Formats: sequence, C-alpha cells, structure tokens
Amino acid sequence: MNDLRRIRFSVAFVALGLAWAGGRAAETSRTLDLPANQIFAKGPNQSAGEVLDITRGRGAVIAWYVRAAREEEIRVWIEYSCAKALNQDYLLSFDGVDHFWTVPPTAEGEWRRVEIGKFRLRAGLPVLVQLVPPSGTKFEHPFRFRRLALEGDTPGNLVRVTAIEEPVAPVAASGFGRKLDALHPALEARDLRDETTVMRISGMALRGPRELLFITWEGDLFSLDLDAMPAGAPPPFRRIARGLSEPMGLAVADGRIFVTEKNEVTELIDADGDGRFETYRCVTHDWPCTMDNHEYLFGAVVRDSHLYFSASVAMGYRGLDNRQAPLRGSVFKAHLDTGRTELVAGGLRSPDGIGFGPHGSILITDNQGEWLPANKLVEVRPGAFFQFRSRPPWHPFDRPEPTPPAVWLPQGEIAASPTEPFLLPTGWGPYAGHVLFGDATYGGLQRAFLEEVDGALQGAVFHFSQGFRHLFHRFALTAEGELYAGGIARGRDQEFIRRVSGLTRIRYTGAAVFEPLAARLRTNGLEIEFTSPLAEGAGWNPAGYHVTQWGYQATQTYGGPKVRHRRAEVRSASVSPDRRRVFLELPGLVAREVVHVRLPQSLPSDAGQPLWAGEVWYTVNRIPAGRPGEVRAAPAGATVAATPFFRYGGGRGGRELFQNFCAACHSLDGTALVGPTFRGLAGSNRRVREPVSGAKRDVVADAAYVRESILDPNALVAEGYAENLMPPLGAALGEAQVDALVKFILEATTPK
Amino acid sequence: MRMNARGLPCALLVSIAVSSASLASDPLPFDREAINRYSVDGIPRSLSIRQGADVWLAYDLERATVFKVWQAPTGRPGLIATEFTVKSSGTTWFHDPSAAPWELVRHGRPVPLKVRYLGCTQRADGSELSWELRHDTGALILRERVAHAAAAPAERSRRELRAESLAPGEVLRLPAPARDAWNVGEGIGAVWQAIILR
Repeated sequence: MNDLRRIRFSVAFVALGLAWAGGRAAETSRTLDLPANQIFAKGPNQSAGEVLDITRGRGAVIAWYVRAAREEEIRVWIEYSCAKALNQDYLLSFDGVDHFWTVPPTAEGEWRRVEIGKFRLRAGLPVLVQLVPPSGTKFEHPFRFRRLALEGDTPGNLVRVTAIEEPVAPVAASGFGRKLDALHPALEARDLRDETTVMRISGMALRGPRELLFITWEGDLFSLDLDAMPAGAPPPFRRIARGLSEPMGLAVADGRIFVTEKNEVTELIDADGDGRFETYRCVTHDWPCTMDNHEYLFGAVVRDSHLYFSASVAMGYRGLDNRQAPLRGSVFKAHLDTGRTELVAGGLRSPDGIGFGPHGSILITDNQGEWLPANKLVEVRPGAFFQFRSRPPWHPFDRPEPTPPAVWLPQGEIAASPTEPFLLPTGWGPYAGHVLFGDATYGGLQRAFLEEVDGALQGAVFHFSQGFRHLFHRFALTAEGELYAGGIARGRDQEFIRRVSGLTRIRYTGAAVFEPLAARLRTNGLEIEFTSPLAEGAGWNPAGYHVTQWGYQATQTYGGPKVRHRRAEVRSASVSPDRRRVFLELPGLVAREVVHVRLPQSLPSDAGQPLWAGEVWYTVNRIPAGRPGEVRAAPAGATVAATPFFRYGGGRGGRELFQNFCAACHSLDGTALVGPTFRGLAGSNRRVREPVSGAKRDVVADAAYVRESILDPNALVAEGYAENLMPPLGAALGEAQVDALVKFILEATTPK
Repeated sequence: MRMNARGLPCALLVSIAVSSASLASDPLPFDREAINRYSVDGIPRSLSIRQGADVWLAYDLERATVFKVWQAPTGRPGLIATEFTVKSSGTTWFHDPSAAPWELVRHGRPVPLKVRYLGCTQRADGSELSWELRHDTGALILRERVAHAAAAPAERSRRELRAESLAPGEVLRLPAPARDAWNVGEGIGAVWQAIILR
C-alpha cells in the first residue's frame, strides 16, 4: 500500500498562515484536472497508470484540494468506465456539499465523460473535493476512474493544492497530546464491582434519593440501596426484574420505570404492589425495525411527561446495499401515558447516550463511522438533521445543510466511542454546569464546556480523568452530587467483559486542580479560562500556545481525515487582570472548524501547581460578531522565553498513536481485549483468513502486514476474529502517522 | 411498520441453549424459560411463550397473532439462543409466515385495522398479551391469554381471546391462516373465547 499516499495530504499554514504552500496553477485554463493517480489513498483498490479500478470504498480517500482565487460556480465532470450498474450511488463531497451520483453504465471498455454537478467554489481557503464510493460494499466489477475535471468561467482561477504538510505536533505526555493516565486529583473513586457477577450496565437512574436502579445489556434490572453498602464487601445488589431485550436506556419519572429496549419503549408495572413487575407495558414501537444486531434504542430522559430517546442505524447492510429502515438514526419523544410518539431530529448513527445539558438543552453523543469523520456531542433541537444519510427514501429531516455538532470529539484524541453525557451539579465546584461523558473504548471521563453563540450551543472539550477500572456507559447523580458510573464492554472476550464492566462510585473532593476550565469564542480569537490564576508574568507569550485548526467533511465512507489541518497563527496572548483567563488572538478563525490549543506543561500557576492537562478542542460553528476579546499589552519581559515551551519530535509519535487508536483493543502484554494481542507480534507467524475466499494461511507479521492491517483490516483477518470488527484507519491517519505507528508496533513487539 | 429484512449476520456469537425445564426458582416474572422476549425466527418484534413442558407459541407482535407453534425435541430446548435472538427448535405444529391481518367486518364490509402492541403481563397461571386495533371510528382492544400449564391431552395448544369495544354489527376475524388451523368456536367477542389448535 500505496505510493499515492506519498502525496502529502495534510495542509500546512506556512510562515504563520500567510499563504498556502505549493499548488499547481492551471495557468490560463478555465479547467482543472483532478487525476486518479493524485489522490490521498486508494485503499484496497488497484491502480494501473492513470486509471484507478475501484471495487471498494472503505479505506480509500479519493480526494484533492483545490483553491480558487475568486468565488465562482464550477461544473464537475468525471471520466469513467463502468460496464455494470451499481446498486448504490457515488457521492461527490464538494467542500462539504453532498451530491449523490447514480453511475450510468457504459459499454465494456467504453470511457465516458459526463457532468455530475454544479457547485459554488469559495475563494481563498483550499477546498476538499472527494469522490466517495459506497462505503461497505465490495463490487465484483470495478468502477474504472480516470479523473474529475472542474470547469469554471475564469481563466487561471482554479489551482490544485499539492505540496501540503501536516503540522508537526509537540512531544506528548499524559494530558498533553496523549490520553491521561491517572485519576483526576479532585476525584475519589470506589470500584463497586461484584466479582461474582458480570454487569454490563446499559441504563441507570435513581428511584428516590437513595435507591439506585440499573439495567444490564443481558436484560436484568437491579436495585441498590445506597445507604446499605458495606465498607469492604460487595454492595447488596438486588435483581428486581428480568427478561428485558437489550435495554440501553432507563428513566424513572414519578416513581414509574421506563426502559428503552431493542425495539420498543417499555414501562415496568407492579400493579399489585408485591415488588414484582408483572406487566411490561409497551409505551411505543412506532418506527420500523429489522433484525440487524446494531439497531438499538439508546438512552432515556424524561421532560414534560415525554421520554426522549434515540434509535441507532443498522450495520449489517454496510456490505450489501447500505439501506436502512426508515427513521433509523432519529431522536424520538413519546408521551409517557398515551405513547404518542413524535419525531424530534434525525441523521444520527450510533448515538449511545442522551442527557441534559446546560441552558435546558438535551445532548446526545454520536460515534465516529460512516458520515462521522469524528465523534460528536450534539444538541437536540426539533427538526435538526445531523447528516447520516443512507439512501433513498431519505429521512424526513434530511436536507443539504446538516446541523453541526455542538462539539466535535476528534477520534483517538479525546474520544472513540462516547457515551452518555450529563450535567454536573453545583456541588462540583468550578465544574458545575459543565458536561461529562464516558467512553466505551477510550475510557475515562471527558469534560465539555458549552456556550450559546447566536442561539445555538457550541464549545470545547477537555481531558478530565482516566484511571478507572470500568469503561463508563451510563451515569446517575445523587442529590448530594455522588456520581454512580456504570461500565460496559462489547466484543466477545469474557475476561475483558468481566474486567471493564461494572459499577463505580465517584466523589468530587473539592481539591484544587490547575487546568484549563472553559473556552469562549470571541470575534477575534479564543479565551481560555483556568481553574486558578496563572503565575504573575506567565501566559503572555504567543509562542506558548501551539494552536492548530481543521475542518471535517462527513461522507458515506467510514471516518475521514482532518480537512485543512494546519498550524494557526497566534497573534497575541493577553492575560486578564485576575490572571485566570488568557485571550488568544487568532486572525485565521474559520467557521465550521475545530481549533485545538496545546498548552505547555511548564505553564505555571500562581500557587505553583502543575498543569493537570493541557489541551482544548473548540468547535467553531459560529464566530460571534461584536464580541472581541481584549488585546492587552504584555508587561515588560513577559514575552521572553528562557526555554522553549514545546519540544518537537518529528511529527506525532507512534506511541501516542498506538495509545489513541489501538490500545483499547490490542494489548502489548498479552492481555485479552477485543482484538488480538500484539505481544511478540513482530516477525512472528500469524494465522489469517482471507474473508472473500475463506482460505487460511500463515503470514509473517512484518511492516507490510502491519501496514495493510491498519489500512485495510479486512484484507487478512486474524483467525478467530470477525470481518469489519476493526475500522480502517487510513481515512484518519496521514502517511507519516501510519509510518510512525507501524514503526512503534514493530519495535514494541519485537521479542527482547 | 416492520421492514421485511431478516437474518442479518450476527458475528462473534456463541449459541446458548435455553432450557425448557421447569420455571426457575427466582420468582421474578419474565423468566426466559417461560416467556422469551428476544426476537424469534427472524421476526424483529416477537416473543415466545411456553405452554406446559415443551410446547412453545411464537407471537408476531406487529400482527397481533401467533405465527408458530412447535414442540421442543424430547429432552432438548425449544429455543436456541444466539446472543440476543432465538430460533425455534422442534416439531412445528402451526406456522403462519404470511402477512395476513386481522379482519374487522362491519355490516358485511371490511374495515382496515392498524395494530399496536400494548404489552404483556405474566401472572402465576399464565400470560396475557394485549393490542390496540385502531380503525376508522375508534379502536378495539384485543387481549390474549395463554396458560402456562399444558393444554388438555386432547388439545395440542389452547389460547383464549377477547375483544373489547366491538360495536353492534362488527365482527372480528382471525388472520386467515389462523382461522384454518384453530377452532375458534363462537368467534371473538367481549368474553374470553378459547381457541384450540386443530
């Protein structure tokens, strides 16, 4: 795999953002060629000369950057050959505008040039043009592709941007470019796991102030008296109901218990008061379903006598024709008494968590995959559409301009499978009003701060805590602010399931911790608030902030790269008089992008505390008008740095990439996780299966094998593991990153 | 509203036999050995109820009807679980794979019905299912009872049905395949009516 990747796709903002690097001018032509042999990644497809034979979309990034000096309408042409009809459309994703193209078959060997759409090309920024095959399907006959051609009206206006480099990241440490590795200093956690019982917790709620209820994936409902927990023994869990069908949400309203099961919302009723729920009342099942094992109803919250929940999409058809039952990916609300059900929003994929947020909002997390280049935290609003599209008939809320997430959660950096979000109460000190959420792969608790800009929520996500035994899925907070967190594991490894599933009690101790607390967007930059004052004279030097920015372009393929990933100019840094806030002046802010700020570990607090974590990911949906941050003159000498703020190690290190993208499923020490362990991998013989033929054989785990497994996991599947279990990472990692990851895996698994 | 798509691959699964032995000692309702609420035989919204030691009835909840009755193999389970779905196992006594609906006839004219499942109650002696059958002027409530005890020796399987809110001049008829296979007696009305598998 694949020399095409050597064309650097990530974008550098050379000389502090003054110009985009490189580019091949179209000179005086009105037309710009985008050839098949100049794409980012061909995935598992074959190329011969100037022709790319596409049989499979997953893992390929058939894309180019183009730039226009002036905005204009352009026509997009394609040169292709396709002797047999396809059962799905191709997608042309043009700077985020989705255009589906039904491929007209050609005669055998015939090359055809057809116009497939008209688009507005904005001026200035490079724009990503992606030709996206159907994601999961492998076609027996190739779609033969030679080039796209963009045709405008202005000679010399269009340029293909080629020589673009990914920004080099500072060397990482826990909480600084890498996942945290410990419990937050202001938290106290007690593992309440019962060693004898596996509890994959899929819903939690309080019934009364001191009775915790939780459900399990296996279909049981448990009760726990929070006042009856012995100090050194397992808590007295009491099963009070059973026989539920894959419940993934639990809510209690006025003492009534509601469960979102796989295909219906159910109320558990104990009419005769004997302590047994003899009636499972179906509140609603007013949406279609299939036998797909990934169609769940996720979460449950009650507001105004209505239960809110979401329905995930199916996964089983990804390798077939990619259809979905109507209304999959929706948010519904159902009246608790009448069962009357209303459609609230659509376009979600795997929305494994719903909860209340600030300003009376309802929030949902959604998991990276098709149509999600990264994970999301979204605000549920009536009529919202979050962009997951399958094929006609479209979702009733489907529209060209999707609703952006309140916060993007970059894959592997701060999330991998985000779960239930919840609002922290007043007892949580400076974090009150913030949102925490768990992660069933990345682990830990992540924290989001949301603000309202032009009437919609957007905001930032921060590292918060790792160091827990369980992969948290659902949560319940007592009135006193005690947090109960339920863990869940997927996969089939029983030891792994037993180890990371279960219950944890978490208490906020009030200990002072120095960390970035909030981030607020201003017209001209980003203001970062800290939990405690910076040391006098600290924070003024713009070089002390490593800031990058990028966009996302969701398509029908799995995941996706950062778009226009580049270093951002920090023109100035201004510390507030109370030294709790720093305003970063960012002249290159662009709406619909993420701004990532990396702080130096050396940033000192007034009290001399070390910084707990030093990263902020802020999602810029709207740039507020008329709310500039204050640019202040730095005190004398404050911008002089005796030592560099950051060390650079030649790009993102393989260790960090392994930690972020691989470690959740593959151990280095032989521990059984969802995927095969890498212990002793390098140079060893591995038994693999070719999914298409089913043939088994041994391969040597060398660099080529590891690389192929990363970019096209289905090419050779480790014996005993299923196809499609591992997502291809080629759409999320650049070439240099793949190189670094392969190098690290081989070095870390070479027998000593 | 069910999609006609079934049998999708369930990877990574380990088959687990569901015992058809006596009810578990745990007194909680909805023991899967008596009522199994997992999708059965590829019908997404379905459940299975055991009658006696080895007879199972599978309900299509969106059609409000039994679609299969079978007897488990001797000494073997009647339901085979694959993770979170089940398949019937044994000798089939009745199978209705059709989409035939309940029929409401008003003064000799058919009236379309829209079915909505309302839930299931398990009591000591049996289970009761209910549905709303909505029509142009209102709704009927259809209730069905199945005893946990085995049917009488001469009867392979017995159920009881009742329809609330039938108006004068209205007749409610079972789906056609069920009419052919079950003795319905006086017809479905406001009082419980036993129906017996022929």
